[in-house]
Amino acid sequence: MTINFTINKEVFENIKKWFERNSVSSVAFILSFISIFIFFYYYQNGLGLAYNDARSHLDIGRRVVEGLKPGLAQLGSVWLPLPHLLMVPTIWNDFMWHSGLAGALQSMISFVAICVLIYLFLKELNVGIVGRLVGVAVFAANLNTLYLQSTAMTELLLIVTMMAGVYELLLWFKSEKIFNLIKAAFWVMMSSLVRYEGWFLLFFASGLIVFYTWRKKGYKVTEGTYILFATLAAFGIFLWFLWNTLIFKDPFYFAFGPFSARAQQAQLEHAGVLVTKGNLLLSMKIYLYALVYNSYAYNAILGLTGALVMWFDKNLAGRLRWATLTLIAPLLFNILALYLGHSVLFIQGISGNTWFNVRYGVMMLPSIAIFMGYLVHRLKPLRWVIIGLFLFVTFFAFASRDAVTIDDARVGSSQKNVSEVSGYLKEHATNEKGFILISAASHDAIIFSSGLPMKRFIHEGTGAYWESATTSPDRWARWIVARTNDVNDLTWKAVSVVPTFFERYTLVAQYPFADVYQLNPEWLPALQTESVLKQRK
Amino acid sequence: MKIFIKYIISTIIIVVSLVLLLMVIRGSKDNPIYYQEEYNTQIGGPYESSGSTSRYITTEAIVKNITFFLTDAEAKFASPDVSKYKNKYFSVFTPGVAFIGVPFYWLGREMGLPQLLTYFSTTLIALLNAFLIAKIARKLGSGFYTSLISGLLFLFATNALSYSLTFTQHHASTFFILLGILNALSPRTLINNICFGVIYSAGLLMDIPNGIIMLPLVFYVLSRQFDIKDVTDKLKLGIKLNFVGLLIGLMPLIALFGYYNYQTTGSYTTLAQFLGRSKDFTNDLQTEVAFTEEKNGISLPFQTRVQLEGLYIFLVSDQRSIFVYSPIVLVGILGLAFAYKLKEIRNKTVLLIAIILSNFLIYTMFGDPTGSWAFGPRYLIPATAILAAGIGIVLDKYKKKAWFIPIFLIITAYSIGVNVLGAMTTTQIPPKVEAVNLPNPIPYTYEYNWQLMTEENLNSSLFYNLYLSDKLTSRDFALLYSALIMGLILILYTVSSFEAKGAKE
Repeated sequence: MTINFTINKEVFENIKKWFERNSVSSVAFILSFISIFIFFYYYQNGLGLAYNDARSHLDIGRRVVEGLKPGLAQLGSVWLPLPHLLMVPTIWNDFMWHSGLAGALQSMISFVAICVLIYLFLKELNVGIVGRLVGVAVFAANLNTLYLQSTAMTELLLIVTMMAGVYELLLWFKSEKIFNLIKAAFWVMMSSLVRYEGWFLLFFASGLIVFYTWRKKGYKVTEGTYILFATLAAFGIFLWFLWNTLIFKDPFYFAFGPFSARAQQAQLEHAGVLVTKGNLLLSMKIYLYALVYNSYAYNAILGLTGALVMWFDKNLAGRLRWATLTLIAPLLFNILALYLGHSVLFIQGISGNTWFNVRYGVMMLPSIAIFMGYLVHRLKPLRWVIIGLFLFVTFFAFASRDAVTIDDARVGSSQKNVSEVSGYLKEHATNEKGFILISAASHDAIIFSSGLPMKRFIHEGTGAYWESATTSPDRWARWIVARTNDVNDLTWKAVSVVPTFFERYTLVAQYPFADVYQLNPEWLPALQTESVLKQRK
Repeated sequence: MKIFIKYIISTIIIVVSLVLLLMVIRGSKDNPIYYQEEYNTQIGGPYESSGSTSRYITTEAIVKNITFFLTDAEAKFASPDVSKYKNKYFSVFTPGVAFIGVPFYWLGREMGLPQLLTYFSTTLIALLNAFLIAKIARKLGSGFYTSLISGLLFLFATNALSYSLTFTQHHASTFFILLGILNALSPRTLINNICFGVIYSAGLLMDIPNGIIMLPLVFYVLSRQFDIKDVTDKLKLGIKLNFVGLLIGLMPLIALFGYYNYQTTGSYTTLAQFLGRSKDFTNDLQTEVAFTEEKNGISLPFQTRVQLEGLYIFLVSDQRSIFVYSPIVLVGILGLAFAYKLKEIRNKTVLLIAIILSNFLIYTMFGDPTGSWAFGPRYLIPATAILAAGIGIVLDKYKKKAWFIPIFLIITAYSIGVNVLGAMTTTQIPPKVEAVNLPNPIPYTYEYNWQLMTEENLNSSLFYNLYLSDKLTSRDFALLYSALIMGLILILYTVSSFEAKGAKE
């Protein structure tokens, strides 16, 4: 026995047309809600600020607008400036600063924008609606991206700028409209101001543009096209060199300065833990593990399959296949950076019993999402099997709370539980006058977690305050926070050689990450508690 | 006449296969036969694994004492695979296999051979599986003889052989999955729907992950309840009301499962696994830690974080990799790839691929994909069975090619050799991490079986121990046995060469 219904085909057609028309806004709308919900989830359980780097990013942004010496110079040279500049409009607000929302906001917007870009990218490759939505789901239904979009970390901002650049490049390869090339250059420039992966994308994209144009149109056109692209795309790098020259008197300060990644890597190398340097196979292994842990093994394998299907698919125009090569730029960059010793990444079980920077693996997730969306499109008979198994794996990923980025933030080397020392400062300094001398390079997390205003802290970026306080601490600092006997801590390095330091300060608290010294009461009358050096350099 | 000959040949193959299986059934010489009253868990014996003993002792408790609960002595025998609730012990596993064993145990008790007969239930199911595989291979377009080769290779050239001699869930699970496939591919009549409901619930009763592995079948069957027709500017959607049969079929065994759970755990929906294993009979420190963690709440045993390791274990490692233990399965993969290309059977092939991937994926996420102390990838036996169905397609395509014959025969001989080794010694090979950390480390591959066979002359076959142990070494018996299987395959291969390519049923 069968029950029969009859439905007008037009109804289906209308629904389909409506969805085609409103698909981008629907995707953005739904994901915006998800983004906000997930932010509050991680805000409420406190994980949103688990990464030590997230707190440092927020502090850098805050120092631009508040502190003993606010201003753009506070952007420093440790990290590229765009994430901190984008925080400036909101970070002045204490809630936005201490909730992390000032930084997370850009990650949240990036999260939604990346999903839209994945959708549009697949549309440009003539992938149907199912494949496009699968691509979006692969990126969005991932606890690692959902977590990172709730933090003040820079990954999603980097991904969105790179993805936008790659998307515009795809449009240029497709239509050869010069405006697309200019837009691609703009986004590549933006990415070059977020992290150094953006610099690699510039070189990689340049290579592709030159190769493609030369083959198709000869040298003259290539020269003009490339200059047009590179002038704008490399402008961010030029600005960064200029910034380093103006502020630090050395265009390469970011690369060779005392707070550079190179200096940190040198310390790690000295400690014998920079094992990927010079070992290509291990570099590949470590990064591939990070990639798989971030994207889940099923997605990673299908992503690889999708990439092969895409690159060998004769139905896809050759120039588009060239354009999609840019999707593997993050993979090449990260392996190369590990091999050259410019980056460090620890995988638990391979690099001892800890995690560090494992979140770098998330950089390939949009590419995997696109490849997988394409695979679903091409393998029509297996489509529902692939989707079903994706849902199945994703269910277990959520059920088992599989977010390696959270592990990285909570238990890996990226975490720093400074609640004890920051709690001490909060309890003893909130209602008392006097500055706290501390190295921001070593203890930004303590500054953040103390909840005290930035202007209570004298750190390396406070110019004359820092110089005065490190030579005559008893005149400027009521509390000194430093790692006793660690000369890598700039505060300790400076104050430990001051003859009167041990006589005039008492060690009042000792904690795993830092100790607190307090000025003895008899020296309080001579202590400067107001910011009187505002006019000085 | 042709059909009659095929029936005759099928019967001969069934008898020969049964004889071959009986030759490796486990046991030792005694009066009458050891292990029928002696609960000795020594290596190579039928009680070497708690996966078997826990189920066997439940069967015994049901028949002897009309209860699901175990006495202290029985629980100790079943440990560590035993749970405890309100001071009563019972098996940690779902009860399906133990239920199947009940009539066999009863019969065996009457004959004075309770262990042999109870374990024989698995052997019988394994034999049925071989023929279900042949049936599926036929549905994919394989010839009659090549389909039989598919089934026999599953039975004798994969670790299915070793596990056909145990009292575990692997063959029973495979049986219901294969039955489910054949049912799903049949017309959706009310009777077929009722049968599918019974098959699915029986699968659950054997092992909970079967519920997930069989999900593609469920979706496939459900999708076939709908009929969409394009009529000019309208779509005509028909829903067959006989889908009610699915629910009717599900109910009896689900009710039985609920009753069993209620009796043991006090709740219709709480499985023994959720309570965890009792630590009353173990002093192992590591186990105690695991139990402490379990007390913090039920956690799912499937985790995506371990999937990479699972993939490595199943595909690459020398510990359990399907290709190291049964490379013949590679031929099956090729066969399914060929089948996928054929439009007329693509839907069937996609269904099979979906089940294989479900089986594979779920166990790559399993906390211990090695299957703990095991022989080969025991969790993948259902997937191996379906893949074996693909072998016939490749044989039909290449059986007369000169380059193919030696490759196929070498892979077959290797696969048979390795798995006969496992069947005639032990399934208890530790995972690498445990093997290398034992006080006296042992190999973690089938090299251990080889050591037991050649250095200690161990052979777990009852037939060998009763009649041949003073005439042949264990190794010589294994070689002879492998040669018999190889001979059977060769005969069928030769006969298949005279059959038209891809002859339909």
